[in-house]
Amino acid sequence: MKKRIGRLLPQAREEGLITSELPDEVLVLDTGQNKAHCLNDFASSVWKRCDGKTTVKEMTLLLGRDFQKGITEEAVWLALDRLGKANLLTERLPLPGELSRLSRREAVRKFGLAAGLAMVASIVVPTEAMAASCNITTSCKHVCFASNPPFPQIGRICKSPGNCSQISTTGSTNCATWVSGQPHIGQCVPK
Amino acid sequence: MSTPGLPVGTPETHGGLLASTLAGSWRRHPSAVDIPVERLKGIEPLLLHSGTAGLCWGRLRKSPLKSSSSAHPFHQTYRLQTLHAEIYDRQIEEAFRILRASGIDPILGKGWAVARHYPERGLRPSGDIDLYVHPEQHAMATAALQGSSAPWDRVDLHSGISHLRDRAFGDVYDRSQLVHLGNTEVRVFGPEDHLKLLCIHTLGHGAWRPLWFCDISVALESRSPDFDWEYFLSGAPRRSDWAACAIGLAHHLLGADIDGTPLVNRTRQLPRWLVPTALRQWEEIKTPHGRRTPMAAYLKSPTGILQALLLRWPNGIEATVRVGGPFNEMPRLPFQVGECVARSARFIATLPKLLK
Repeated sequence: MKKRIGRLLPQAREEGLITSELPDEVLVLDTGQNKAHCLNDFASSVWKRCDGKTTVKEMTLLLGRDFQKGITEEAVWLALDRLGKANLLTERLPLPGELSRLSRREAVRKFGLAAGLAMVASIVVPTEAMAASCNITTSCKHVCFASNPPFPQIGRICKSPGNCSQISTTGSTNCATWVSGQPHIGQCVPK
Repeated sequence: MSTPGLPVGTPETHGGLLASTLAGSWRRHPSAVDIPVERLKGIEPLLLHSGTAGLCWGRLRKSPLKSSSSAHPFHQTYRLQTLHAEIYDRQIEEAFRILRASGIDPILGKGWAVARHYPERGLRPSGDIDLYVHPEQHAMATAALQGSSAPWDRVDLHSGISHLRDRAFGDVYDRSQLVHLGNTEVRVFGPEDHLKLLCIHTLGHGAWRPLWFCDISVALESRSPDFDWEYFLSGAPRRSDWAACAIGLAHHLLGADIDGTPLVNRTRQLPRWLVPTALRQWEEIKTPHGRRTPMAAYLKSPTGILQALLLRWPNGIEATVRVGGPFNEMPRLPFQVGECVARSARFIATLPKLLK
């Protein structure tokens, strides 16, 4: 098992992802799952090395050279675990040996991973901000419309799909002429 | 350009605090925001709801509040806006490709056309794709977009340029420019026309969004030395005066730099009610125009009609522009009543069709 894991070749997912590089982090939008993630410098470096050809051991050496400090294999494995959980790899990899039995906090303490601690955080934005910046591929999929009063405001985000009598996948923030009760509730009637 | 003065919005009110938080936020190197955490919390819904959370982050990240939990929603908004911009750009490219394949060359306004002047894309939300076509091409453009497989709800296709109605479409088109966007070139308004459009659009919507004043400020401050002020102020004098007042508001509220413009005198003589009206409007988390349930919906279910009518009561700025009035020291009530009467008349005229 150990040997087999050592030969695994992590591969980053590409399809359906939109990325944007900022000075100290990489942002990733999974258009299929409608989720956004923020990768810190270390996590994004690991992710970029996931070319389907490089083993974890090789990756560790390369990353150590990139960061000019000692990067442990455990740190890379934990990064891969995080990336896998966020569905940013083509396949989620099992953590090897002792790592699989430790919590993240324990692993950090035990292996002293301060030099290379991967952070893959979800980007969750308050609903008000989304109402101000509604986007077809993300938040508008959750725009809520009801066919009975009180009418939710167009562009308002549902707290949960259960609150909706209809969920529009083609909502617009500019449906000035939408009329409740029309056949396509929530769809924009051309001006 | 010299350093602009501080905005006059007093931080004692939420509107004033919003103004001081956003002052200069569109610049490449804005100063750190200086605001106590509890006061930031107080205006957080206003910032988030008005689309200025990303701009707020641009200043917050330079302050000691950067790592606080209070700054988190602003940082997250900035990040998501950065990603949305990537999608937005592709959609604009695609819209241009489709329309050009039908022989239509639209002009892009607002949205990306102004976002490109900001130092980072995450600062400003990506909104609609506002495309302006000649009225004679509008039907063909609509058909071209509807005939494509992509959803085009996001495209706001304008027939002509209502905000620049004192200018001929052809003249505006002749002054428009091609700029790079990804792998293509998109047509945007000439800087003078665009600034004027931004100004009149902002006032026509009652100065509801502080973001629009940031847009005016960034468009103003990123103008080139050959910006043609004579052309900017040409056309119907009243409309030019509105534009000058909008720039004056951006200066007073957010500290937009008006040095080197011919608007300094007008800016000093804004009607006394103008700045307080805008600040009051900013304090209301009010449904923007595009998101109001149409009055026709209340014909079948009158519940909430009173609230709907209240939502439609225009502020002095909106009323003045909608009835074509002047920005002077006269009381605004007659304009507000006049605007309501005119709108009601238009609604009544459509009733027979709606009741069918």
